[in-house]
Order: sequence, then C-alpha cells, then structure tokens
Amino acid sequence: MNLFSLAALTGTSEAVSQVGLKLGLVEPNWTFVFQIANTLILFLILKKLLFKPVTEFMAKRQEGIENSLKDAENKNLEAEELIAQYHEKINQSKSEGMEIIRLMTKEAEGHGASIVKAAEAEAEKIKNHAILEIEREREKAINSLKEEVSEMILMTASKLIEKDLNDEDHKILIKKFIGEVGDSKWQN
Amino acid sequence: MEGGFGPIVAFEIFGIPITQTVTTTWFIMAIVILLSYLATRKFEKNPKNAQNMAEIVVDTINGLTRQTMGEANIGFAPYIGTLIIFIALSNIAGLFGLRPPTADVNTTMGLAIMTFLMIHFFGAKSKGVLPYMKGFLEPFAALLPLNIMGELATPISLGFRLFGNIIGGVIIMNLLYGALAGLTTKLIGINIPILQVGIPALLHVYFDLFAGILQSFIFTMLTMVFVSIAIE
Repeated sequence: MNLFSLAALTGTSEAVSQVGLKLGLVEPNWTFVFQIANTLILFLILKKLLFKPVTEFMAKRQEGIENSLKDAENKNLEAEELIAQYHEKINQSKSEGMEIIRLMTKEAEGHGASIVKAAEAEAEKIKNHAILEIEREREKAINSLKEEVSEMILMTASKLIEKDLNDEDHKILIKKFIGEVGDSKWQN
Repeated sequence: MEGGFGPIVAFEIFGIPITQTVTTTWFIMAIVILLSYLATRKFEKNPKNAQNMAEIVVDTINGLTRQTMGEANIGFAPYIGTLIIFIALSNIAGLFGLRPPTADVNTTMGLAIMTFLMIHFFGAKSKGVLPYMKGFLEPFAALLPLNIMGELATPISLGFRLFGNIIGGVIIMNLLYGALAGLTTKLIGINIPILQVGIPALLHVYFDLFAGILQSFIFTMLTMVFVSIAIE
C-alpha cells in the first residue's frame, strides 16, 4: 500500500499496512496525499469562512469609522462657520444698536435744545411782563404818592395860613410844583 | 514502544491505510472550522469574545503577511494563516495526548512540497515562464545543476526542520514517560506511574508549546520569504 518504498530509511517497518500497525518513522505513504488534500480543504474552508468575511468586515468597519470621523469633522467646520456667522451678526447688531443710540441721543439733544430755547423765550416773556408790571406799579405808586403829598401839603398849607384858598386853583399849582420836583427826583 | 515512534494505522478505506496523523488532522480541522463558524456566524460592530478573537487572529496574520510579502501580496494571507494555524495546532496536539500530525514526515513534506510548488508557480507567473527558467542559469549556465539542487533543497530543509523538531519532542517525551514509569516501579515499588504526574509538564511546555509555536512560525515565515523572493 505504500506510495513510495523508502521505508528502508528506518528499517523499523514491514510496510504492510494493517490496522493497529505502527508505521516507520520516516516512511512516505498515503498520508502524504491525505495531508495535502486536508491542508487544501482547510485552506479553502478557512478562506471562505474566516479570512474573507473577517477581513471584509473589518475593512468595512474601518471605512465606516473613517466616514464617521470625516462627517464629524465636516459638522465641526459647519458649526465653526455658523459661530463665525453669528459673531458677525452679533457685531453687526451691536454697531446698529450703537448707531441707533447715537441717532437717538442726537435727536434728544436737539429736542432738549429746542425745549431750553422755548423755556428761555417763555422766561424772557415772563420777565418782560414782570418788568412792565413793576413799571406800572411804580407809576401807580408815584401817582398815588403825588396825590397824597399834594393833599397833605394842601392841608398843611391851609392850616398854616388859615386862609381859605381856592381849592381847585391851589391843587393845580401844588401838583404842578410837586410834579416838577418829583419828576426830576424820581427820574434819576 | 515496539516498532519505533511512527504513526499507527487507525483504519483502512478500500485498502488505503488511514493513520493517526490523518485522524488527528481531521480532528484539528473540525475544531478550527467549528470555531471559525461560531466566531463569524453573526458580525457585530462592537465585537464580542469569539468575534474579537477571530479579528485578532485574522488581523495579526494579515499584518504579518503585509509586512513580510508586501501589500501587493496580501492575497496570500488566507493560505499563510491556514498554514500557521494548522501547524501550530498540530504541534500543540501533543499537550492533549494526541500524536502531532507534524510528527509525520508525510505531513511536513506535503506542506513543504506545497510551498515548493507555490514558489515556482508564482515565480513563473510574475516573471513569465521563460525569464523565470533563465533565472536558473544565473550567474552563468554552468551553475544550472547547483541552482536546481538549491531549489530542491528548499522543501527538504523546510519539511525536515519541522518534522525533526516535532518528532524529537515526541521521542523525548515518550522516553521520559517510559523512564518515569520504570522509575516509579523501581523506587516506590508500585505499578502505577505516579512520577509521570507533574514532572513532564515543564518539558511539555518547552517541546509542545515553545518549540511547536516557534516552528510553525518559522515554517510560515520561510514560506512567505521564499514565495515573495520568487515573485520579486
């Protein structure tokens, strides 16, 4: 049954294959063919069952992870862009706000100035009015004073001279006199 | 131990003897195939135990092949992986009381012949048949016989290196077990080989685990190197 007859190398075997017989240590036989076939079968099965699917699966997973990472990177970039945009918008709003405040302030200032002007004008008017009033009051006071003084002088004079004076004539006379004196005295 | 250290014929099919070597190989094949099937039955993105192991094994073998043979020859990875898994498990079989299939010259020479065929087939395929044949005339024509002998020496050295290492371990372990059995009877006086317990463990670790895995690695590495040299 030996494929080769190299059993002589060991000299331990009769090379007659029987079940339970111990073969030679270095004895080429059918086992050679069986082992090559076994190895090839194992190779084909492992290739199909283990190496190909596992390699493919790992490659796919690696690809998936790479894609996820790339995706995340893109999303990050997008987010950064958005943040930049928002910053710009915020800055824009800020400057807009500043502009509005500036305009408003200016307007308010203008408004205030006009109010002040109006108030000043009003005050001026009131002052003028008051001055006029004072003038009139003064005139009135002078007149009544003149009246009283002339009356008193007349009374004093009539008492002093005890002479019946023509009331009307004297009054005119005295008034004229006082008026002359008073005018020059009041009108400094 | 009568009849030497050869494999025993387990049974016959149509007069063809099936030895221990072949039956142990079938056993190893069955285990490897079953484990591969279980590990790759359903893939998950987040690998669990079995799938994790399968991924580590496949990734390591792919990396080894890529590193040794280059990215272009990554297609050899499944064969290289089969080789290293089969040889390593065969060498370790001694730990489980089986006769290592690699302790049979038919196994190791079968593997070596396959490497030999691969070297020349892929060499001729990548360079073209005629330029490849011309390579045997380098550096000059008179060296043709030497070149051919050198090429023939490759599978012989490959096959017998593995065989010698493993059969050496088998023989030494057999002798040790025999000696320990005899020693038990002599020293203690009982026919139960108590001394066989524990004492051979260290040698098992060396011959079966260390030498076994180292030799499977060497065989596979040499196959990769020879094939990639032939291709380049």
